[in-house]
Amino acid sequence: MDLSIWIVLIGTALIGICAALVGTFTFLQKKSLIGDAISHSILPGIVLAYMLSGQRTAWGLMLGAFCAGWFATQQISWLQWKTRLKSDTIVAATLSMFFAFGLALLSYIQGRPDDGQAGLGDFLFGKIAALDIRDLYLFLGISTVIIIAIFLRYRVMFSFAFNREFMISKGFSLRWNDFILNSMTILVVTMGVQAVGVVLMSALLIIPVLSARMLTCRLSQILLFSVLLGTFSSLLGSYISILGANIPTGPCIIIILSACAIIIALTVKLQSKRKSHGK
Amino acid sequence: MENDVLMVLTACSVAIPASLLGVLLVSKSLVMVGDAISHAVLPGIVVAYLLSGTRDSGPMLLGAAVTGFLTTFLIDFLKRKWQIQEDAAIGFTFTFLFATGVLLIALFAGKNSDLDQECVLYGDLETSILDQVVVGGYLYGTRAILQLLPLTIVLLLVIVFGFKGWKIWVFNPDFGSFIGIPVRLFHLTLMLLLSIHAVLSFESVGVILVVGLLVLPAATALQFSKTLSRTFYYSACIGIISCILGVLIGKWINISISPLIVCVNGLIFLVSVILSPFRRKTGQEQNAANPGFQEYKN
Repeated sequence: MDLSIWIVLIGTALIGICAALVGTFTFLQKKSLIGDAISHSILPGIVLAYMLSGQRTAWGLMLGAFCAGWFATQQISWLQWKTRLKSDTIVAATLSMFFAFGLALLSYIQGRPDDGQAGLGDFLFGKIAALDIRDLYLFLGISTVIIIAIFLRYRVMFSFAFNREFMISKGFSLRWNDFILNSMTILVVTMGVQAVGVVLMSALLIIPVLSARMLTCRLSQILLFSVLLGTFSSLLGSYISILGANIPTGPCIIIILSACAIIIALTVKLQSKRKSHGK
Repeated sequence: MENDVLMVLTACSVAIPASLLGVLLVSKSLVMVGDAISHAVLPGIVVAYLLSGTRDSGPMLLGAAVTGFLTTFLIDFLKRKWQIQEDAAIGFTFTFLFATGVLLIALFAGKNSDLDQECVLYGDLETSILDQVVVGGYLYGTRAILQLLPLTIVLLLVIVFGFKGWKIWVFNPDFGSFIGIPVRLFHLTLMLLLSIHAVLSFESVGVILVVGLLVLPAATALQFSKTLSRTFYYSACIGIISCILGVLIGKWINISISPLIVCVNGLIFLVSVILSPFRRKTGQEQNAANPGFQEYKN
């Protein structure tokens, strides 16, 4: 195998690991759909960064994506403070506004003659084969930051997920905790959109944790299983999409992930049924 | 000029039923289920297209109805039987179905067919108005208008005649089932109408932007109205206004119109939030109802 395939495989493995780690905590705090909102709303950031810088560099696009994701979370919390709407309405409204703005910008630069924007369409469904060595360094940096942050704040985030009132009464800052979790989600999403695209990114955050949760109830084991599952299916999915000529990476990974989840769920249910019959 | 009028009419024919459906979704906090259904009709559309080989609306409606129900049942099943929390159940269901749809398009509907990713996902208002229905030299309208008009009429009839039922379904379903109103039937009717709407409108606005048309007018209307019936009126009016503005601005700076309509809608929503006469939550109330960032209602 040559270098480019190794780059792609290492890149997807990193995405799978980080998405599963961060996804566990968003899942436990019942904020899974925030991941969906963030992944849709980074589209205008990517397009604006491209329009301002005039080229497709990973650093610029990721900076744009990060800013847009941050704006979206700020808008969500502003709307929650200002209006009486329910949170799912607020999330859906923010998501659709940002995504529509991104699409409008995309159609604006596609109308211009000097196009180099062919690569931008890949962000919608992901094209892992476009990854190069500089992207990989960036990925490595981001995943190191995320893994260190989770390692350091493991106990605090664990306690916040299960007993928020207790942590607040102990004097831990809820806003700070939410800020860290949101920033990690935004970082993972900006990384992952290159592989699976903005539409399906939320699945990488949700499905591995969902299936790990069925297998076990201990947080450390949930983390372990979801990391394994996320890594395995993103590797397999990207490998298949490299082999096949016309297969988009994102949907391929998600289908494999969902198939694993369904198999795990069925096995667990069958076993528990057998046990209850045994009694 | 004639084209502009046609475009506004086509956009309105998508936006009016969407804004009416949206009011029900928002007040029942089912928005994410609506989002899931509009994503999940994609495999239904693709399978119907592959089996029938045409883009006729008959098979596609059938496919959409099937996938719409499938989504509803799957979310319900995961939530009740397997005790998965609601947000995760929704996230799993729609990403799985959506990925299936995209993969099916990539594998089977090749580049030459008239069903490609871009067209299904984003839609194109500019080309959908070229599909005109002309009988005996008179222009009756575009195909989208003629398809969505019956849906709008049915929706209006369902809302007007079942208004008390909808009210009970939204605000107190337990009381409704106690006095013998088929609450479950109302829920399923809404989901059916939603999936039919998603299919009929995917050519003009695409399956992803539909959620914006559903949620934004209703959310805007709720900033000003205090009763359900007024919310319906306001929501439809805001839908129409944003269509007209969207088409005008889109013509002026020459960018794609359907995302622009949602953008205009979003701007109206933000302005309405700032101008809203209702007082915001007091500090205590907010802390009690919503500690911190987010909590999904079940």
